[in-house]
Amino acid sequence: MSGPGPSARDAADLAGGLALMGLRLGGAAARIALRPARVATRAPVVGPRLRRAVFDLRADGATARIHGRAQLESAVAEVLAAPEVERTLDRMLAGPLTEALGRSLGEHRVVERLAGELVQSGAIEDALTAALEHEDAQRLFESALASPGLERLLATAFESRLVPELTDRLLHSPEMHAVLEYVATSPEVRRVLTEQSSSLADEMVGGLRTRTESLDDAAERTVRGWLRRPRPAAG
Amino acid sequence: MSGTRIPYAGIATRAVALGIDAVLSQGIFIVGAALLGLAGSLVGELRPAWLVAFLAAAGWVLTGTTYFAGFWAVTGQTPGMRLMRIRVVARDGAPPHAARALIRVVGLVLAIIPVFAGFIPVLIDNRRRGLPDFLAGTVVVYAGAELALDELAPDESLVTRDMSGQPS
Repeated sequence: MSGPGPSARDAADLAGGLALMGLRLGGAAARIALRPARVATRAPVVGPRLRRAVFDLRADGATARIHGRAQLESAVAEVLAAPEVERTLDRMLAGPLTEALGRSLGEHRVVERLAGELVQSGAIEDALTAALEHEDAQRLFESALASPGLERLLATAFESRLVPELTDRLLHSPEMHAVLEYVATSPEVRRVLTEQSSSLADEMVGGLRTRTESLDDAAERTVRGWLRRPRPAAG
Repeated sequence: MSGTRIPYAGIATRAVALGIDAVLSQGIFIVGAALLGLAGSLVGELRPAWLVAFLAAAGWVLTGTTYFAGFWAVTGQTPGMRLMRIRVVARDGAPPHAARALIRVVGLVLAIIPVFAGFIPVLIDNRRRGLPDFLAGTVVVYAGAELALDELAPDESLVTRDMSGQPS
């Protein structure tokens, strides 16, 4: 994208300087012109009338200012909605400005500063809590878990060469050793393991007993059937 | 299967208990023999070979007899029977005395020798008794079963009577 030439820039600068000088001159002339009026407002008979006229003028000015702002706002909205602005923005983003903006954001650590500010203010925590507590988030999480895409992603991740390396590093980390030591020496964990082991053994032996008792009856019934010797009523 | 539970232990439960006890008693014998062998090897080799075989056989018999008779006489249950929740009781409802327990061990051996044929009566006897029970006057019951003492009285069909009709 090529900008205007040096001569055009000089002309624009000159015009801007002239306009500024005109404004300053106008302001100075107005101040000089209003001086007699200020003196007149302090006069005994003309003063009150002049002050009322000044008040009316101020009210008209305020109304004009509000009206002007409203018009300016609608004009800006109209300009922003114009397709030319869209095209201009598109050209800007397609140009080197995006890269320059990214570089500038990185150089000035804008993202880190913004994140730090958000974390410090607690806004991120509040937002995360609100998001996690929302039922839509839960639904989204469940649907994500049930999606085949996530399954494929996880399968790819598990097949990655990073997994054994990470596992190895994790297993050799001091934190993992501390966790394992805690689990191995924890009385609660031991108690739970003992309870589960004994209940499993009890279940197995109980099942064996039930089966053998059924087998007792079945064997006796079969042999007594061959001998045509019914069992007397029990109990 | 009838709704009322028979209080006497059947052949399958007793077989499983006997199997567990056989493994345990053999394990005890093997460990004991290994320890004795280790100790013997330190003082010198035992000779002649027949003496070693005799001592080993005697040790095996002693281990088995002590294991079974000891547990029956003390608690009425071997570890295998405890696991299967069955127990041996004499006619008074208590564990058999030492003599009765020894007789039961003899009965056990006699029942095993003819390919376990000594246990066939368990399938047809009303109290599910095998040869060891007939010889020792015991029954094997499920540990939780309630038994009236009159149920443990001698079987009328097996009691010989004299001319006056009194049990002899």
